Amino acid sequence: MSFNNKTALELGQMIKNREISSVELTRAFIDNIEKTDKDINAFITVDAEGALKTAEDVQARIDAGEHLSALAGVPMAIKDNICTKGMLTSCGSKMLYNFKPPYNATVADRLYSAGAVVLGKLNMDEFAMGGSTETSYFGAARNPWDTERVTGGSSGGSAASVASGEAVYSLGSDTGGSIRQPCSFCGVSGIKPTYGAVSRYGLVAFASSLDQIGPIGRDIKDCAQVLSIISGHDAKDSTSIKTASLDFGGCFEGDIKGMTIGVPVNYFGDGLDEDVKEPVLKAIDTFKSLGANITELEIKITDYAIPTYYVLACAEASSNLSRYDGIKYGYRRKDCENLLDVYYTSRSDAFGMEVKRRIMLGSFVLSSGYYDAYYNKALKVRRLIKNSFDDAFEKCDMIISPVAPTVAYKIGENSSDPLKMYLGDIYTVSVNLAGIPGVSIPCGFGANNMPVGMQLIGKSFSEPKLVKAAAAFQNATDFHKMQNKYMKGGRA
Amino acid sequence: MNYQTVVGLEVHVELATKTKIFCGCTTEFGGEPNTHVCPVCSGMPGVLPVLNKKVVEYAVRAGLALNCDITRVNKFDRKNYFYPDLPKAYQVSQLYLPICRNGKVEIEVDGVKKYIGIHEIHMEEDAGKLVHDPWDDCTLVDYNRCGVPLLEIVSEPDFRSADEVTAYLTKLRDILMYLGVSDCKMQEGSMRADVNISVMPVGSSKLGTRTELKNMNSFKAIYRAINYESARQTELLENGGKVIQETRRWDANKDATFAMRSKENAQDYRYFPEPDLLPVEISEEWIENTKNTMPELPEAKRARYVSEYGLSEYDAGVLTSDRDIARVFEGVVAKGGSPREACNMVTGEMMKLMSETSTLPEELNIDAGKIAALIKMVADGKINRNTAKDVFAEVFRYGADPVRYVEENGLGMLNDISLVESTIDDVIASNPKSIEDYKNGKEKAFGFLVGQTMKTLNGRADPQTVNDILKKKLQ
Amino acid sequence: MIMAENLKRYLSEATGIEIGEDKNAFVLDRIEALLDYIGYSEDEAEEQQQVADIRITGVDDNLIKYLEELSRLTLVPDEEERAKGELNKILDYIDMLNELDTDDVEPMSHPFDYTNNFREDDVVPSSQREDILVNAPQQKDGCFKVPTTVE
Repeated sequence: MSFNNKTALELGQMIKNREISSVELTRAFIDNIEKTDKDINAFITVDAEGALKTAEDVQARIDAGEHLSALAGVPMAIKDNICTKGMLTSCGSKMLYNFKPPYNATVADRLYSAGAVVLGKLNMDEFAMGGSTETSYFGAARNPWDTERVTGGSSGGSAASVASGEAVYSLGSDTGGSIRQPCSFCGVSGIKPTYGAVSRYGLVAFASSLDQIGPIGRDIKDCAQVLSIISGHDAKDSTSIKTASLDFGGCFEGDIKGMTIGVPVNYFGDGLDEDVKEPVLKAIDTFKSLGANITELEIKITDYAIPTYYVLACAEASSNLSRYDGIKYGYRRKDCENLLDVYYTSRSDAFGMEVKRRIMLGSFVLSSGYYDAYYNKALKVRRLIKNSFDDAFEKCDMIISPVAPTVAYKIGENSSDPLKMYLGDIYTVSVNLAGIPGVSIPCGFGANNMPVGMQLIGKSFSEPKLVKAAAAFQNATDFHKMQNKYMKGGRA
Repeated sequence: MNYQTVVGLEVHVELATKTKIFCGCTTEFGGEPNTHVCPVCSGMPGVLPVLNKKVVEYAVRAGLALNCDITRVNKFDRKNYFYPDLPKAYQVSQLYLPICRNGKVEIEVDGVKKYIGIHEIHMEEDAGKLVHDPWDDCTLVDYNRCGVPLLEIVSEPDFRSADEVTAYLTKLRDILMYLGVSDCKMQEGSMRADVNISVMPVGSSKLGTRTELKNMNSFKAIYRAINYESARQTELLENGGKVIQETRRWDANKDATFAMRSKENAQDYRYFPEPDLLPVEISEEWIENTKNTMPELPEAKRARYVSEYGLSEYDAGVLTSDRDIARVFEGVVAKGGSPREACNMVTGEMMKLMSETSTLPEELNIDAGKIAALIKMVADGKINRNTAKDVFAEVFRYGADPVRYVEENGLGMLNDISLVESTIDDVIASNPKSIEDYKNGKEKAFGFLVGQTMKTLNGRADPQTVNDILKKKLQ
Repeated sequence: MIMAENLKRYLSEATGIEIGEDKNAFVLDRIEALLDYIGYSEDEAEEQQQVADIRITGVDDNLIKYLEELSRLTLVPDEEERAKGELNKILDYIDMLNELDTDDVEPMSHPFDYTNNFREDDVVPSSQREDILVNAPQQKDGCFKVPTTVE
């Protein structure tokens, strides 16, 4: 039987119906990882033993009549910057090559309580800084649609593991597009939730005011299901909003007649590849045919989103990454003569160039004399960006846009020019700056038959509405069901 | 040219909360290294801070007591620097919008009153402890103190002498202890000060270059260090030298300050708003509530003791010198003891016994009700004053019940007038010489006869009664 | 101070009046009071100059060295050259933010307007010490161990 074309909700139902056991399913996925991950490199850690043990426990509880969640017993995997107790959490960095957290992230706790079977930890750009996983200390993950190409990033392992059938669903994190862009590159679905919807406790911080954990899955319904498990207030995270978890009841089937979708025309101008533009424009037509009103608008201010983002993200990162000093955990150069040696050599040895570059840029914009001109300026522009989105949502329920200007590029092709790499985030970063949710779902294929995704952006806590639109689209199209050779090949 | 000393203080006070500022670890002093620590206060990857509400409540209370404006929306900032005692490599503090600003404290030195301005008060977290291990030539890091909440109280450079600084620190300590926001134990480091010292020509309004002494934790050391440092700077300037802005270290043994090895570069802390914490918004209602529940401060208490109880300024001052002594006094009054008598008992017998037994005010464990009962016995003529002193000691030392103690030891005054009369008769009969002397006008002899009577009655008679009866009999 | 000195020099040049040693402090005090009054801040002016400088001259070796020090990083000379070029390019790009007028805009450090998320002052048991120290590169006597810190 092939499980690879099944969604998490379907597999959860099969387990519930006793058509298959969680242990069987988990074993099949472990076998698949063994076969596939040589090519894909989506995993940094595979915890076969732990996963099978969890599967046994969960199965026993299901057999005892316990209802854990709709996804109980379904195998999944977690990005390697989310703390898992006793399990390596490296952030894709030499700095944390041996770090085993003594505690679980809140999302990990919630998943375990919901009966999730954690297969292991997923590859990513070092400390989530990058858009391709090429900055990972463990080597780049490879795109299942073409292993010469990048997966996107930073949650590249999270997207590739789902796209290749190595995991049914996964968790990623998104600071400037890190869930949405790899979903687009790998042809899977993902949600970057509203800032504050999901607890960040246990997510190793890159840029604290922008980071959010979110789900990646085969379709939007799986993502919504996962999000309903991991979202909701957490007393350990001051920035988690005091609301109940997100409720997606009635979002999967309903129609979208009368919904207004805004098209920011300035998102479709220069810099967007034709082979990406075309499928997104077609998606707009699909929405129209499903009964949505389409309205054109402009959000010019987002042209300033990338410089704003890099100033703020790097500033926060420079501070967040200062704790890696070779004293408490992680890498330390042996035989250091003095304290300064410990600092300088450990950090210089263990951080990659992209991380160093961002730390230095962040230190610069915060340093004495430059704070107002750079950092504070960016904080002000951030408000202008947020205001522009608020204005836009006066006119429409959501905004549709491309996710990335290109399809997945070849490994090594872009990594030499950081500025060019940063420009790849042009459609995604403003969403993080405004703290609003964004959904990324497949909407076609571009050059070299590589997947293309589209993005739906809504106002804070409008995830149910976004999911409803995305589900309507996926109910009407098959892009999310297309299979690459790994997906097809995976048999159990 | 004459020079004037100018001092500004940054006082750090540990708050008396049960838990740390951003996690639930205990703030208890001591403990084996790294046993009052969790992932949050040891700066593990991925952890987040959650603010202890009590810290904000205490900060508001302190701010109001020090006449500050409360910043309605205040925020935390990160102060970035690398040091092993700081596990996150940043200290969460408040730079841009501290919780309190523009306060003032009145001090008095040699009868002259003046205000010291409070520039700001902000909340922040304490760092860990480093211990040098001489056997291994290494440093050991203990994070138990990491994350203990601090208030930093920054004064204006308004001090013009070491005496003013001492007066301010004493007053500040009194107020903070009265408020219950800190125990201000200097030996445990829960109150310490950074002292900025400069000198300027008398009459000038332009501050001189200052030096800083960090982490001073004794009033005496601060006093001596200010005098030393101001003399050093004055001498330097008089000889045509220049004061260098630097951090210096006070060496109590050598009674002098020394320059610390200067860092290659000035610190650049790269402060920015702490994204992991929400702004703190303090409502009008919150401030009103705090004002309404604010404990009475020493100054107000002192004034009230004078106006309401008719005590002297001096007595009121002694009683309010410590919160716990005032607590005992007020307890006695509340239980019905007369304020006058309560004051005598507390400032007299009790403080004497405290010093004899080396009891600190906060260790006082005496039942105010028992003192009130003792005072009542004196007022009712059940015991005399001398007996009361002895009984007080029993109450103080052993928690004795005064009524029962007097009863069991037969210390109560005699109500049996006939016994007093017969005793006096005996005394008159056996002291003819004294009677003779008294009748010849020697007043002293009368006193002797009273004494003899009291002695025979084991001091249990009312001296006044003895007086009256004796006088009558000798007429 | 620099501005006050400059103004004093300019005054005496323009008027031909020498300001004697004895009056020097007095005049400087007055000029500074005037500068204060018009809201001139030495620090702010210095900052503006600093930012203007970097826009003209770009990131230089000194600044790279300084950033390495702030960040506790050592780059090899090759990397330093590269970092310099890249930082220059990125800062140039960031300068486009100056096209926007943000004078009346409130800086936004959080993506939402919520305030006051507190915990009560209740003690929660601390971690086992082994858990805190388990990842330490070096430990001794229940402490993290580092080479001697020099004050």
